[in-house]
Amino acid sequence: MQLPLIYKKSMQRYFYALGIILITVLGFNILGELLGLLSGNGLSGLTLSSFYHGVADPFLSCSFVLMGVYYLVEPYSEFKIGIQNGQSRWQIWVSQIYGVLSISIFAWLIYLFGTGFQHLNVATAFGILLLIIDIVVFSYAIGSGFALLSRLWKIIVGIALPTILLILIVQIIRLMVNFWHPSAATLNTLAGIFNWHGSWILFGLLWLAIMLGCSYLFTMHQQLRRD
Amino acid sequence: MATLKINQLTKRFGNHVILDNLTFQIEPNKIYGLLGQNGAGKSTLLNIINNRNFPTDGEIHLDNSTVNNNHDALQKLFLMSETSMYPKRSRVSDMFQLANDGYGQFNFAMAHRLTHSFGVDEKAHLSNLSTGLTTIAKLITALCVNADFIFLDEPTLGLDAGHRELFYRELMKTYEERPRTFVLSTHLISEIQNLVEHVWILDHHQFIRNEDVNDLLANAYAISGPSKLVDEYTSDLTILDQQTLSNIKTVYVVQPLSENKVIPDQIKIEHIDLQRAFTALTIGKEN
Repeated sequence: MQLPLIYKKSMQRYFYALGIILITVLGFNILGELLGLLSGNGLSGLTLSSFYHGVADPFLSCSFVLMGVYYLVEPYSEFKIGIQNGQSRWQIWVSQIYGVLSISIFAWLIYLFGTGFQHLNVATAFGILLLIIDIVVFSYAIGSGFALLSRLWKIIVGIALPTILLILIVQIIRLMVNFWHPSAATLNTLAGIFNWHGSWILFGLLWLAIMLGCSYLFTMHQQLRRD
Repeated sequence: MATLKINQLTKRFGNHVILDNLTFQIEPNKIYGLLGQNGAGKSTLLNIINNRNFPTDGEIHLDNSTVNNNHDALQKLFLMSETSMYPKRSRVSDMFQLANDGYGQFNFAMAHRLTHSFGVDEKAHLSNLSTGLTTIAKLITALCVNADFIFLDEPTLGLDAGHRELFYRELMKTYEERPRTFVLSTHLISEIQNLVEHVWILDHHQFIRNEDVNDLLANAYAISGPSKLVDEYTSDLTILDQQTLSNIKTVYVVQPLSENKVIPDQIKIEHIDLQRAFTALTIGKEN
């Protein structure tokens, strides 16, 4: 089975975007320091550590934004490249899942290095990795779902879906507050479930499975759109 | 090499029928022409065959296995179409590299030679190229890609006469060097008449002709002469199109003429070309 085409292209474009972010952040920092120098503040306040943080912190934030956004916008473009170059939908999906995992692991490593491995144990590190994968795969599922829609329907669904979800959540909370009066024992049990680390891991894995299923379903139905 | 079999293919957009129950085969190592008026469904058909779109009904098989989501089958098919399938900032060389990554054994030497002949800069971004040069870049990719079935949808879009001539020559050259199947979908019918061996004419959602070009043209005639004589001579024929100038009438038929029938002296019978036969079969019939 031949995989590399879409995966390779995907990684090329992701790291190209990441490179632009790094150069921009670096450029702004150097420009800031130069302006400080010109305004007579000198370089006395500048240390390697402060410069590192000046670059690393915004880069970290921007790379996380890119991580969340990349697979929101790329699936259709990658589908077109893939189908033009003899790739099946299955290959495109598998390549994109490889991409999701690679980007997640890379973002996780950036996070670990960025925070200097502080307050870290294996469970927390795994939890963070799972959280990152969940975010990226969620973004990918939405992106591949949106790839099925025309521009008009993208706008309709893009506005309607979050609105419906918000109304639904508000209504559920309202119903719970008004009509659900749990006993102390029930509340204790719920608190126990939420406090147990494993519950979140299980929830994360369940979310991952659902999003993978959705993205598979959407990718298998992708077609060349007429808009 | 396997045969591509299209079986009972139907495509509808809502209630609008585009293709209705098409069944045909695409043989290895042949050059086909896919003809039809604007909106006849040529591009839709090619997109479905190449698994870019799904049919409403029917199947496409290569080597007895479905083309849909089948890597081995898709590796044998390549479609060059008007639709932009590459990111805007892609370079011409990126198209070549992608075709090499996707299909393997891309003929880079030929691609370099053709970019030079056509005057295309391989480093140019596709977004900066004119319509004609973009078409040329896509054509070069299609001629150099390692696939057994090459589908060219509007291959001469935006090309000047010189570049079109060069393309036809290069097409025949590569076909002789490495025979494979080409399907040309174009409106410049007279230009491809000498290239294609077999023709499909798509009209009103179906093929009204699916036969070798030589067979079609052997039975395609313009019959002209005094109106009365022409009417008498063609009384048992299906007239596809006709023109009358003063008392001289010309009718177009695409069917065998009876050898036993005596041709009046004033009647002139001539073979017509593919372009005229196509017009008679499609537009003429409507009139």
